[in-house]
Amino acid sequence: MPLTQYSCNCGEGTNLHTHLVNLDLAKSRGVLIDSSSLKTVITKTDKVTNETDSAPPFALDLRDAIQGALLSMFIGDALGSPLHWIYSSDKLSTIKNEKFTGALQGYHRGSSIDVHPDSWKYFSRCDPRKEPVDSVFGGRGSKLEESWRTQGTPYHNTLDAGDNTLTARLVAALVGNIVSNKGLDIENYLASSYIPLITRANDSNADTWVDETHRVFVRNLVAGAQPFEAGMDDLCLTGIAICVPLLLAYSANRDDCEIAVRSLLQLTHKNEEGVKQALAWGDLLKHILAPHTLTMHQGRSIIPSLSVNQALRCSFDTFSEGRLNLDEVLSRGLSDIDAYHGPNVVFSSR
Amino acid sequence: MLYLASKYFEEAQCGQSPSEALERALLSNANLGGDCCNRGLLLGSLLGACFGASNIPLHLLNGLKRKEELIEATDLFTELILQQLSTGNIHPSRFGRPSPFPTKSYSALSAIQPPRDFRLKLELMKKIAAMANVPVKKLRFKRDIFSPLDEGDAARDRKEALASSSSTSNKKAIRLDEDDHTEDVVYNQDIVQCESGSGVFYYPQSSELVSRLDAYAKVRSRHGVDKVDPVTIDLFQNYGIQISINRV
Repeated sequence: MPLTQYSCNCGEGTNLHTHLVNLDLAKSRGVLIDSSSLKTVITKTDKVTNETDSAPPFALDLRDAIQGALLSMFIGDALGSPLHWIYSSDKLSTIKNEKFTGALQGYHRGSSIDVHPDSWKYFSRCDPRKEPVDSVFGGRGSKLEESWRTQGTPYHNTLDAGDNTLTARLVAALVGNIVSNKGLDIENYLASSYIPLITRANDSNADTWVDETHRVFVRNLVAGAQPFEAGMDDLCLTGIAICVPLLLAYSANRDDCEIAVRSLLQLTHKNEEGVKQALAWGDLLKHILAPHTLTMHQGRSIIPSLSVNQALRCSFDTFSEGRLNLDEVLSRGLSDIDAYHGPNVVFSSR
Repeated sequence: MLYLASKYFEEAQCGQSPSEALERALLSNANLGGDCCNRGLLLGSLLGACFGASNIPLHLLNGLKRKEELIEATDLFTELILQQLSTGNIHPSRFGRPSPFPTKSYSALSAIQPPRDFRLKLELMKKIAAMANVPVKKLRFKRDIFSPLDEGDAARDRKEALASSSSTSNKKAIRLDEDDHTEDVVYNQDIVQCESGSGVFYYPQSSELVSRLDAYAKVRSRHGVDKVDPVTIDLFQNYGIQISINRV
């Protein structure tokens, strides 16, 4: 059964955009699709075909799914803080053996490792001798300065076990902004959440590390740049991650979602590809949530939902630009470490 | 992330407890190092949506330092979305529209003023720009006077890659020595970049910057530092800026 990339005008947005749809399923639900708009046919294996629309969702309902998505984000972030940005597989293995008896098994303090093997060259880029740390980052200056001057400082050395990095704190702040304003209010977010979190020394952000994109934003802002002109062109996972609350909140309307994503990324991640990737991530989340929204609305849907397995594979094709076949990679039976670090490495740990 | 998400989602489909699958996925991601925090955020968003909050292991939830704050925020967030969707419209557009950028004044930010030193540095740059123009091959100066125009390493890296693939006919090379670090600066009509062991800077408005550097060099080469106007000299001295020209 083919999965097809379909350029449509489904009512979710006024602009032409694409969906990944199961044509047979679409026909069975009486969905009219203009064949002239079909673009790319991706043939999948029987394994996927057999799972079409049959996998029951594990989440209880939409509430469970959305809350699960957000809370799991904070858990995934907090678990990773001790080993963040260690890329050398040998050093990673040594550290895990010495400090975590082979592997992380739960939350640990960011300072669990004494010396981060790779941090210096990155911290040196924000050497306080070169940057006005005190003036730009306010009262946090002394703390940052001490950390940034020390070779081997772990990136998140001030975080307690289970605490979140600055990026996750920004996600939480965005969630609060959406709740308070019943939607994204980017100016309120900027003034009440983003800048205070980035610049002030208070308990709301204990993280040592401030990503370059935020440092550049603040430097340019204090130099007189307008807030929406102060950010830099940056394409990285952070940009997608901070958009997730928007992708969930605006999942029902792609036009609004795109406006919201652009409004946020304009601040610190001015990159068109970043916008596309964030929206593609939103499409994937939407497919995962779709079974619950279908239940809520008596099965009415313009675009039939994919099973989670199919949606993940379609997104895998999209993000790998067709270079990798997920089923083929999974069939190799690699351990996760081997897939990311082994001699036959498949993925970048970036 | 998609590999990890697929692998552990399918483990749950094959009979493993969803709670265990979620925990194994997030721990495995953490143990991979690299950008594991950001990957953890995104992987968590996918598998958390698949498995639901009801399948989050309690010890992981309880171990979050800001658990109460996060649960309350996500609960309110979820409630808001459900309220909007429960209207019966599967594509609601009345859910609070995002405010577009950047159309309004930023009165809330008015209290944030540029520090005095940045203003002075910008004044310095204007002074340099006001001077005339001669080709320069080598300069010595205090690099951080241009930090307000910094666009960061990532942008610089991309622009550098672009620049290296384009014509080099309009490039000039100057060297900067500061604090015993030797740094290379390359600039053309589009970019100026500076990299050393102690820092990396990228300047987007290179034509303006080149003009400023060349202008100062011309005055120095023709008249010596005493011919530079007193305000500029004061600014140089205030910031310990030493500029000398070595013709190539």
